[in-house]
Amino acid sequence: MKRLGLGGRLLLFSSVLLAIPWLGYRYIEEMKEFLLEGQQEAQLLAAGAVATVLHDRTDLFGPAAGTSAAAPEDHTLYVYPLQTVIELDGYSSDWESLLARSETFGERYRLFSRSEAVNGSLSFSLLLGERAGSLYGLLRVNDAQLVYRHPGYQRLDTSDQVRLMLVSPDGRIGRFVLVTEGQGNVSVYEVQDNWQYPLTGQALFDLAGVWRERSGGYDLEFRLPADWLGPERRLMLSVVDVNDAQERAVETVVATVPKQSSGEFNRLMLRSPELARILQGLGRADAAICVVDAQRRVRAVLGGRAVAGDLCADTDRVGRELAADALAGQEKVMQRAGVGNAETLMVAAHPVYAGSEVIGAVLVEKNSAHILSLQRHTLSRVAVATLLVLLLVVAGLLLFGTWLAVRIRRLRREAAAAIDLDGRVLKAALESDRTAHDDLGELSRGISDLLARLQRYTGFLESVPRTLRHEILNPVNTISMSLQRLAGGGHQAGGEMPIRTAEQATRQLERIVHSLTEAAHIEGALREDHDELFDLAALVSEYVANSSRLHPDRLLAYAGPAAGVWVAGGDLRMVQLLDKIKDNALDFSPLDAEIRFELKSDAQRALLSVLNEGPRIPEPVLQALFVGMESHRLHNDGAPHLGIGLYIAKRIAQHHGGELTVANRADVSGVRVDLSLPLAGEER
Amino acid sequence: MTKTIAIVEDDPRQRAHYADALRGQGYQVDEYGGREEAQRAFEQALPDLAILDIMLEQDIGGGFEICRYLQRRDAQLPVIFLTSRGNEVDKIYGLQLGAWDYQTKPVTFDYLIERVRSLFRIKAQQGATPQATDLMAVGKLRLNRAAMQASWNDCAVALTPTEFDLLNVLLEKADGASYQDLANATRQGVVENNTINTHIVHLRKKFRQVDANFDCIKTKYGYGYHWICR
Repeated sequence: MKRLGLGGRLLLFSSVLLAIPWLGYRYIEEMKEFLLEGQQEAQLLAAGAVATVLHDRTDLFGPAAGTSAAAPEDHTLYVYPLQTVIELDGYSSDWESLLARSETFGERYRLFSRSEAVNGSLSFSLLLGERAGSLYGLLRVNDAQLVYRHPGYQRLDTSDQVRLMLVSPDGRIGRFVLVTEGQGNVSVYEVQDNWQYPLTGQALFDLAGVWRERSGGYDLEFRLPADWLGPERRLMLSVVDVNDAQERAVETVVATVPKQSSGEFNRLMLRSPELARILQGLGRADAAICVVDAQRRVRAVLGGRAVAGDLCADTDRVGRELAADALAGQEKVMQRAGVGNAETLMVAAHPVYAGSEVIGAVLVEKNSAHILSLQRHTLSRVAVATLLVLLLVVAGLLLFGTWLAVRIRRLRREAAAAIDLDGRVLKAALESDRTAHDDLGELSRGISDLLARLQRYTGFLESVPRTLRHEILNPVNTISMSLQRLAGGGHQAGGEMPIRTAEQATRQLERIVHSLTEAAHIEGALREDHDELFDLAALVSEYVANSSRLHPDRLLAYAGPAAGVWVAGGDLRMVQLLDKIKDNALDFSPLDAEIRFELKSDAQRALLSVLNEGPRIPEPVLQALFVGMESHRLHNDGAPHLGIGLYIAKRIAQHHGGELTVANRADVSGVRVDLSLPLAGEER
Repeated sequence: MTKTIAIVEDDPRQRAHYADALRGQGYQVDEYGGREEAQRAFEQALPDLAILDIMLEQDIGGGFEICRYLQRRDAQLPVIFLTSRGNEVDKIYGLQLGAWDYQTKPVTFDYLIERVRSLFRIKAQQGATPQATDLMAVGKLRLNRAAMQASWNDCAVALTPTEFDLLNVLLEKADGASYQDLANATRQGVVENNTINTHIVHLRKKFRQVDANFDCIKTKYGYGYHWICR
């Protein structure tokens, strides 16, 4: 399986960044939940606050103090608040949303019946509403036989009619009859107690109605000024049926109070203005407050311009459930979708108590659209920002990865091309990233360094046969000649001579082999050495003194401290190094010239210089001096000249953390070898 | 009784030279070209001394194997290793054998014969009463030159013949033995200073095994070594 490249891996790792937008989204979601929860709490508190204001205010809820909860039995007629303008036209279209709530009055409410035979044909349903100081009503009467008023009769109780009885603000009982001669506007008269004759004969116009026939009966839509009613809001409505157009006798009367309570009034229940006044201070544009009584009839509605749903309407499922729960004494919050998809409405319900009895409930609905829009905005902002950052980061990583990959490939190609198939170094310095200041630059320089060393080494290897051929052929030739002379019977030379020269040549060959193995084993030998501290000054001064003993005909001098220059490493290795340098100097220096060993030291390093007079070394040879197998000896003294000595000396110097350099002397013709070694510190 | 010497050497020409030289000295010489051949013969009868080339054709280290085999049969059997590689010397030391020595190639016959004689003499001297002229004492050091035995503080120090010779030269040169002196003592052809250094390291090590404070062999940088006990 092909392994992922750098770029691929970078992409893989950077895919972790994809978690950031997701985290952001989660955060915003959590925030929204938190806000909505907070708002639910707040809303429940608000509902609770409203409910607290209304606690124990039974006066605001019941029709009268102590009225029982059995609504239909208390003769209460609920007056619905009307949202729309009612046009008096006799059609039910303006009442559409309330039709389901209309109350039906039938047999049980029959006040009077002329004969038992006539049975059950008359019934009606009634809806009452209030708007702008007027009381509206929609009356739907089922009457098979319509008998209109005949202008020839002065008595009013001679046709199908609707009677209204009310208690006026001054406590007087007023009786009104609504009659008509056909479809359209009805005539209204205030009449005597017996409902037979008008009081004044004058038609009233403030109380108005429109009569409209329909199959199986008629509809009457009417309007009554609310201020005609006293503070008790008592009113009774009855429908009178006349069937025989000739006889014109009242056949049946069905009223809004049952027969056993005849003579009583209905009590009208309107929205409480006082409740509305209390709630006024709590109103807000984006919230609606709805107060219902124990029968779930709306007692006050406030605000709600921004709330699309009709919380108080009977058709509202959530409102119904919540009100039911609240009336059962349980406060509750619910969310529901608004009209628009994005809207969420929040509804809180709280019961209103009187003592321990629930007398009503407060519903507060609030539009949480602003939270959601806040969320949407934040989400889009965060999304855009993270997407941008993500793209930038990914693009940056990709670019960076590609750049690195390209550089690495280039470096690899160049490094591979620098060595041919047989391992020969074609190029010792790489061009790629040579000046770069990063890891790849270091790698490139490292490889170049490696190649240079390899090149020196292969150069050494290549020069071995060449040099060896020369060095080995000489002694071999000597041995060969000696053997020929011995075989020839010895007449060409005196007895021992050929044997001696052959032995010398053998020694020379042996030395060559020793030199070669010494160079070959120096690395391994150095690795196995154990470092210890030794005094370089003492060593060098003793070495120079002993060397003078070994070479009494040569001038060797030491200049420097007698002791106290401590270096870590192997003392015998250092002697081996000095041997190589000394041998070189002895070889090149004239017999009468001094060879000087100078030792100096500063805080960190010791510098040992070996100076000799003699021929200068040409620059090109200086460069190659340490490679090995490079010898610049001018004369042949019988010792092998493989040029390995300086190579070994340099390796020993490097093993001690030092540096060995060879240069031509500036003062006189000659050569100086400088060895710089790190000091071992202040130990001993 | 004629001493029997076994030579195990894979190069027939070199083997013939050694054999001729030793036969010229009156020894009986058995020649073997490889390990299996030699060991088969040793099953029948052990030689009195074995000269082993370490590298036998493809059998690198074959000489060591034969040596281990012989040491199992007779721990006192003298062995001379022939080696062409400097790094084999450390391995020879690593064996910690009793009566043995080694000779780096190229081999000089004089030296080889001398070593053979020494080893036989050492063996013969074991348990014999030493003659007064062979005995020597320098401080805590006691030497029996005939048996090539040394002791420090009355503790025996097992030295190879080469080491014993080097020690002798060190004791003879009161103002220090030069590398050249020491090289001559080994009686080999070309002896590099490093080889001498290695011998000295091993000498010191052997003395320190019986006396951790032994410090009598001093280095004279650029010259050689010096026996001086404080």
